Amino acid sequence: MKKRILVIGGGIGGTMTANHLVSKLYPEISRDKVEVSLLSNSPWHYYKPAFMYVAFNKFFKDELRRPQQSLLRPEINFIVDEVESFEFNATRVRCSSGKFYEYDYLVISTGCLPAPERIEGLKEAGDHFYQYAPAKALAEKLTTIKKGRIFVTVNFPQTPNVPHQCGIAPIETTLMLDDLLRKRGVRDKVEIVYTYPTVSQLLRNCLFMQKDTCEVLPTIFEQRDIKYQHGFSLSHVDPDKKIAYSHEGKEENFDILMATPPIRAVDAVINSGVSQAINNEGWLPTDHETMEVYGLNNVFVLGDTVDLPVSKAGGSCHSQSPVIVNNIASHIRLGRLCDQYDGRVVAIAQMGLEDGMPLWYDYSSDVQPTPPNKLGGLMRKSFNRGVYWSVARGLV
Amino acid sequence: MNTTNTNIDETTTSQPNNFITNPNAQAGLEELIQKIEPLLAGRRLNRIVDLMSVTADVVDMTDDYMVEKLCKGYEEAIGGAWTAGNIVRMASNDVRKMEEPPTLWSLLKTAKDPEVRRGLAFMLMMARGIGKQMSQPLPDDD
Ligand SMILES: Cc1cc2nc3c(=O)[nH]c(=O)nc-3n(C[C@H](O)[C@H](O)[C@H](O)COP(=O)(O)OP(=O)(O)OC[C@H]3O[C@@H](n4cnc5c(N)ncnc54)[C@H](O)[C@@H]3O)c2cc1C
Repeated sequence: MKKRILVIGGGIGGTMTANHLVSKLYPEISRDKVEVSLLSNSPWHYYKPAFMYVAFNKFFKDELRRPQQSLLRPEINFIVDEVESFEFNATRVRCSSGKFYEYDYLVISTGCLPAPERIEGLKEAGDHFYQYAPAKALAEKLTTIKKGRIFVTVNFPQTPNVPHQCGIAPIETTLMLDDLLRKRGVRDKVEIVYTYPTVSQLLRNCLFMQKDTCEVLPTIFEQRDIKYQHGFSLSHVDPDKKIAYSHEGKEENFDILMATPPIRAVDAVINSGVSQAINNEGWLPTDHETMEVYGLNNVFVLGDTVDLPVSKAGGSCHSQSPVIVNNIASHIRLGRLCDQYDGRVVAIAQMGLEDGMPLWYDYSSDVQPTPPNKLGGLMRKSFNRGVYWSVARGLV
Repeated sequence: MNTTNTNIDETTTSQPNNFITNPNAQAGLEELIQKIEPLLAGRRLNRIVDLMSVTADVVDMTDDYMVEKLCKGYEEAIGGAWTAGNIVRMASNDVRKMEEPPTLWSLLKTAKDPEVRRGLAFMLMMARGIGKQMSQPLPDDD
C-alpha cells in the first residue's frame, strides 16, 4: 500500500523536509509507493529572519517572501488549508475547510507565535520585530526618534530550559540599532539599554544564554556605549507612564520598548493535548535524538514547536530535518529508525549592520565567539538574499 | 640541501642562521615587508585573516547532510547536462547526414518511430510539469 507522508507547515522546517523527502525517497515515489503532501495555512513562504531587517529599513515585503508552490518539487502535493485539530488516534488531521487528511507519517513544523499579550501592558506599549507588521511599525519609530531611551527586554518561555525564538536576535538587533542611530546622527541623544532576565535556560544573571558569549558581550557593548543590565525579568508595563517593571522589583522608563516577547505554539498544537509544557505554551515533547513526538507513532516534529533546549532557529531546522528524513526513509525501507540529532545549530549572526559572525554549537559544546567581520557580514547578506531559497528547496 | 652534513643538530640550528645572514633572503624579506606595510597600515591584511577565519568556519559548519545534498545536486546537474549533451550531439549528427531538409510529410512520418513518439510524449509531459508549476496564480497579498 502507498505510504502517505503529510508535512504540516510551509515554513523553513516543513519546506526543506518535504523537498528532501522527495529526493531521498525518489525510487519509492516514482513507483507510486510513497506520496508526499505539504499542508500550510498560507500560500506564501516567509523568510522570517528578514522581519528583523524590516525594522531597520533593509528589506521590502516582496523581497522576503515567495509563493510556496515555487519552492516545492513538483512531486509534492501542496494543499493550502489550516489544521484545526490533530486526530492522532485516527492518524489524520482535521482542517478548517472541513476536510480530513490521513497519513502514515506526520511531520509537524508549525513554528511558534509571538504572544506579547501574555505580559500585561506589553502589547500596548512594546514593539517587536518577530512578524512583518510589528517590525514595520517599529521601523517607523526607529527612523524618527531624535532623543530618548530605547529599552531592550528579552522574555523566555516559562517551560524550563526552552529558549526564546532565535537566541542571538536580541543582540543582533541591539547592535543594528546602535549602527542605525549613528548613521542617523542621533546616537548621542538616544540611550540604548540592553537587559536580560535572571533566568535564561540553565544560566542565572547573565547577558546571554551561553557562558562564553556572555563573557565577550560587556566589551562589545562598552565599545559602542550601550548600557546593559542583567536580572531584569519583565513583569508588566505601564503604557501611560511608559515604565517597564521587573519581577526583581526594578522600574525603568522608556521611549521605545524593544522586546523579545513571550512565545507559544500555534492553537492546533496547544489544543492537541499532547504538550506537557507549562503555562499553556504548547511545546511538543520531543525525543531529542530521533525527533519523534513522545507517546505517538510515526509522528515527528522539528523547528520552533519542539521542547528541546536548542535555539528555535532555521539553523536548528537545517540539522533536524535530515534526521527526520533519514528516519522516515529507514522506517519505510528497514522497519526501524536509523539517525540521531546531535543538537547542532548553525547560523551566521548579524553583528551590527555590516559585520557577521558564523557560529555553531550542539548538545555538548557551546558557541565559541569569534571577532565579527565584514566578510562574515557579506556571507550573511548573501544568505539573506539568495542562499536561503536554495536551503528551502533542499539543495544545500 | 646540504647532503654532506650528517650532524642533525647542526643542520637544524644552522638553517635559521643561514637564512638570517643570507643577504639575498634578507633583501627578499625586506621587500615583502615593504609590500605588506601599506596593507597593515590600511587594515587590509585583516581581510586575509578574516578570509582564513571564514574559510575555517565554512569547513566546521559543513556536515555530512550538507555534503550529501550538494553532491546529489552536483550529480543531477552533471547527469542532466551529460544526457542532454549526448542527445544534442546525436541529433545534430543525424540532421547533418540529411542531404535535403525533410519534407513536411516525411517529418510527420518520423512520428511512426516509437522512440520518436516516446520523445514527443516526454516533451508533452514536460509541458504538463511546467503547467502544474504555474497552475497557482500569484497569491493575494496578506
Ligand atoms: C525576527 C526573526 C529573526 C530570526 N533570525 C534567525 C536567524 O538569524 N537565524 C536562524 O537560524 N533563525 C532565525 N529565526 C528563527 C527562524 O525563522 C525560525 O526558527 C524558523 O522559521 C522555524 O521554522 P518552523 O518550520 O518551525 O516554523 P515557521 O518557519 O514559523 O513555519 C511555520 C509554518 O506553519 C504554518 N502553520 C502554522 N499553523 C498552521 C496550521 N494550523 N495549519 C497549517 N499550517 C500552519 C505557517 O503558515 C508557516 O508556514 C528568526 C526568526 C525571527 C522571527
